[in-house]
Amino acid sequence: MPHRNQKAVGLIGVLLIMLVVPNIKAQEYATIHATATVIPALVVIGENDLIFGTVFPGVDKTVDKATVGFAGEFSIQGNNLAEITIDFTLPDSLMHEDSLSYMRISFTDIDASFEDGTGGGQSAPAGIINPLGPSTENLGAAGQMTIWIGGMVEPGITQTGGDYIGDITLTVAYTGS
Amino acid sequence: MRTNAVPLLVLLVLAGPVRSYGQNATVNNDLVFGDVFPGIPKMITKYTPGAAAEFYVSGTAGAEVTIDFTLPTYMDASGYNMQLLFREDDCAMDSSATPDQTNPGHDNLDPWHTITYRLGSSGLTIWLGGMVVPRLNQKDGDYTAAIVLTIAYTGN
Repeated sequence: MPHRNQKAVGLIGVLLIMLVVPNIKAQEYATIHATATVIPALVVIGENDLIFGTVFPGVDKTVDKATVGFAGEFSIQGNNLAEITIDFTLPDSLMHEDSLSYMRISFTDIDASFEDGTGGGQSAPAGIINPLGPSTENLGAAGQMTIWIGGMVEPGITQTGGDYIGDITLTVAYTGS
Repeated sequence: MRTNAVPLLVLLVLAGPVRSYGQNATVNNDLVFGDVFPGIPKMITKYTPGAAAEFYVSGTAGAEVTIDFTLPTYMDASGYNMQLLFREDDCAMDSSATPDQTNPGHDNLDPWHTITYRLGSSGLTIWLGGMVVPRLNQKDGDYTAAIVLTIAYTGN
């Protein structure tokens, strides 16, 4: 009789283990994905120099931003309607190519303009930009923008004759908005 | 025999309700960064519903589990990489009956190391944030990376 009891206890013990053990999982995994869409990088191209042409000593000369073929022109391509910052680095002088002579150049706060597809082009642009400080605009519906800049050179009465040149740099960047 | 078997049968009946259930981890939400601008890092915090990663773990209430992430360091798109960062406080979890992502019960956890926690009666919800760092000339496109969560009972 005690022997039969021991067998019963053993069987029940095995049953207990079977009830418990198969329901335990050692590990469980789950995988998600991190996803991101990188939009196109900005591309800026200098399309046209700011050309003053022939300048007479002692006579200031202005090129308006609306003057086709003479105003400086940049084209920007990026993501549709993305907000960008626009920042000019402007020279205060043009340097003589063959000597240390220089000629003053100046810009006003209305000397630049932009077209994003909502205006009428260079002669009737979508808006005015202050080239003296950074500004914020949105690219057009196709991700495009054209920027024009004018300015004024101020040759002295004894200005050395020759060709003068200076760099105008446009820096654009996404704001992230 | 009768007197010895009865306590054992009682034991069997008791064993039913307390038997262990396997834990189960399911995904409620991917870690979604959306549009990313070249040169501008973008962060998704663990508190952001619909954008932060969200896992749900079910199992035996009160059981202690270990939680391990396998975290990528880059996202990929057709062979191009973009850096993906996780900080030491980018994970949070909540085992309450009403998990609150904006104010989780257990916050600022390090997803780079094993986290030990107990399942609640409603399981456990885990959130994970992160940050992508696109280069200035980052190639445009759709980037992805896999994040693996491993759950295991400690037996405690």
